[in-house]
Amino acid sequence: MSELSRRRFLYLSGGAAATATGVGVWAALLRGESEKGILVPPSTTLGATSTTTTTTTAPMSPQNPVVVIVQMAGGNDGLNTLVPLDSKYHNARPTIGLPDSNLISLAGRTDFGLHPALTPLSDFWDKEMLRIVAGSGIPEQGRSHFAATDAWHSGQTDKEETGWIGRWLDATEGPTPNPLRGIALGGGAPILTGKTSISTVINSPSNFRLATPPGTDSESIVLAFLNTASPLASDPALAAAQSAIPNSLDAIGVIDSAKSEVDPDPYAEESFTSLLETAAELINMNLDTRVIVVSISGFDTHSDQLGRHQGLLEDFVTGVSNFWNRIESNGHADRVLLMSTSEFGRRVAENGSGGTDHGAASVQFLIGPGKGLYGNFDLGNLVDGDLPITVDTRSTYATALDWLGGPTDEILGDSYSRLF
Amino acid sequence: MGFGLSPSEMELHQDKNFSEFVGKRIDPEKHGLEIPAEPFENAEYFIPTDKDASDFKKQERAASLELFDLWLDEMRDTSDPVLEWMTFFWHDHFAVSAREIKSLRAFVRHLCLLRTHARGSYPTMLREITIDPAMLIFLDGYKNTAKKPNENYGRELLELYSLGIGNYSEDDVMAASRALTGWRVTENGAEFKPRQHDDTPQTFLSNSNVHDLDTVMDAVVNHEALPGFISRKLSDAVLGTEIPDAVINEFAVVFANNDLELVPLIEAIVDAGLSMNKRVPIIRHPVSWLLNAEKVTGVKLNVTERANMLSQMNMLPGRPPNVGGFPKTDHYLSASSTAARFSSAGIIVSKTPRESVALQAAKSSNWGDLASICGHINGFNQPTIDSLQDLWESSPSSSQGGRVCLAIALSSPDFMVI
Repeated sequence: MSELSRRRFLYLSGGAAATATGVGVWAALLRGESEKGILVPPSTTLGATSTTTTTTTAPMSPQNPVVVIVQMAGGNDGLNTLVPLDSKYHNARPTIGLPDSNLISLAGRTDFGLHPALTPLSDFWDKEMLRIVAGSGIPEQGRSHFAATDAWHSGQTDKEETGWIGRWLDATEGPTPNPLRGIALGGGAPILTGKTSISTVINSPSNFRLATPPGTDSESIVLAFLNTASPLASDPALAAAQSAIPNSLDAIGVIDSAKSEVDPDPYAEESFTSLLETAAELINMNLDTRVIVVSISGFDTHSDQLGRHQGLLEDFVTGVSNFWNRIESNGHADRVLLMSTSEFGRRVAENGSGGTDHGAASVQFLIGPGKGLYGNFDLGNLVDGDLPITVDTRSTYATALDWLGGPTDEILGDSYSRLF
Repeated sequence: MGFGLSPSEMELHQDKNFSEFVGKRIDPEKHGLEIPAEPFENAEYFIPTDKDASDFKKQERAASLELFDLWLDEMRDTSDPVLEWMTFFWHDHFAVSAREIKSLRAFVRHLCLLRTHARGSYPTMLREITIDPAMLIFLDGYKNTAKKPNENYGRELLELYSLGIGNYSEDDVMAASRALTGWRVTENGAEFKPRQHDDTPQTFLSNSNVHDLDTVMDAVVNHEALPGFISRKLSDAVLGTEIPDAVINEFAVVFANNDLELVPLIEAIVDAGLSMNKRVPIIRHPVSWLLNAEKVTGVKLNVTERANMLSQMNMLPGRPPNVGGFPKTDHYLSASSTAARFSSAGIIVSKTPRESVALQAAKSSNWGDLASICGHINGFNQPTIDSLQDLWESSPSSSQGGRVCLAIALSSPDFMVI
């Protein structure tokens, strides 16, 4: 099975200019903006020359601000992530409550401590690079997985089929669509769904490649695949299947050179750390990627929560720290804001299974410039056994949209206060 | 309904009406048709039981793959495509993940249960599912006790399996959870432990005195929202999501008037589909794509190849990603699923036997025939035809041209829609 290598694809996609400006070359080809001539296979062996690879790092696109969203899917238990130093907490959680003495303290705060797995976050705090939102939620989001997830993804409580980032991509799309402006790694990302813009969803970057039958001419087969995509049919389902093809081909060339070096076991699920390494590399490639969504799942801890949650938070913080080190050493940290989200928090009281059921407000972290703790966990004023919402999640969205350059209020349909 | 037709099956149905065949298959008993044997009837023999064995994990993994393969074979080769299609539909609906429950034996029994009731009575299936060991493990029902109720199942029962959001309150979730306390999983099934059960009468969905499995089930299946909720879900899967509420309401009336028996509902939905002037095409999910590709080419992939392809296309039977089941089909148009489909098509054509009718059509550049074999009786989309023709003409031989063109046909946008 011959694989189209990274370099071959960069060659195929016209190398420097097009890749570096972030324009989907395959998509451009379909629109007739590019010469078919670039697809003529070279006479020499495809692959090795370094000139074709260095082109990707050519700094041709502006150093625009980037938002990285980490979705803690399943409903992260905010109370065991950012732990209030409050006897009411221990009363509600006799078996899964974390002892005060084990918590990681936050300089200057006597009311909260962090889960012991989150030690690296206190470094961000000390460097004035961590903002924490306690009690984040969208009013009326409910306890249903799906209603709450929809609300968090769309930034609306009524039925809205677009995601809040998708609407931003729609509003700011240039004359030439670039599906790489919004990228989801590790699964689908409804947050990126727009009405007109297309973004790129890659379930597993390490398995993302094209293979063609042995002994056949790869270029002509890939070109034939591409040619089935245009012109677009009038039927929407067929047209959607057509549009996916140039999007996929464009993304392959890019992701193939961005994914982490280690070739992981194809059966294993992609680790959160390796997904975020791919994200760091994408930022370094200057493709005008503005939003990257990375998901870490498993937070729906209805039972046996203690050990599971510990492992999840370790994965989270390891991936985030490693990511930040990479973008810092590549000189991109100043333009990146990382924000965690989760579709709901969990009930204050533990259940009988060593776990917690779906609740309301949760916690969010923002890594970037500045420090602060916003909202609180109001254990004295529970609503049906849930933490009340003290910060509207859309305040964090507004902050992130401002970071991207807006328009913010137009996207969210209202003006929400900003964290900074 | 079903997972495609092979060229020989197509020939078989050529003179008869295929929709008539499906119609009869919805209600095989009425038409005197034989129902195939349960494919997992003897599955338990290969499930390892000796948990102390040093290679238990390895054995279990092998058994799990064997099960997965048996299931896909049955979907592909069955004489009763409606039964397999409905079984897979319920798998998506209840979305129990073998990965989560970690008991292959319980999972096999769960699949048998889905197949047994696939076109039977919904109330019976729902009751059985509620105390099915796999479900009790999956949504923590086995940990739901009088002392500390766990509402995981109670919530999904209302939200996902019967009524949908907006038709129940948080108090209803809690009441259902309390009334369903006391069910435990044993070696051979589920067992009711009265001492762990909270028998206090609850008000649930406006019914008073709800206190156990029977009373919870009565209240749920008699609720006015259930027929519409299930009708919408099944109709979306068969006809696509564009069907207006008014039509769904007609299905719901049929369903309700037939004591929530599934056969009349399936018939109503299929009839409506047949009488539509132009059915809106829907996007195929990866399992459907793969089985159709195997049928069209006559290739029988091995279990590793199937597992690899489906995992790269992001849909593994037996492993829905969350309680909501598999994602909506447009999810499978992601950049990575699209690339995986193209690569999989390449593997399939390299294994396609010479005598394959599809390969013969491709070799002789007969795109009309190839389209029919692929299930598109009105031919391929024009760009697909042009692309196939170009590729065929530029190929060094008709034999190689046939194979690469077949790969393009299988990975084409056309083959992604039904």
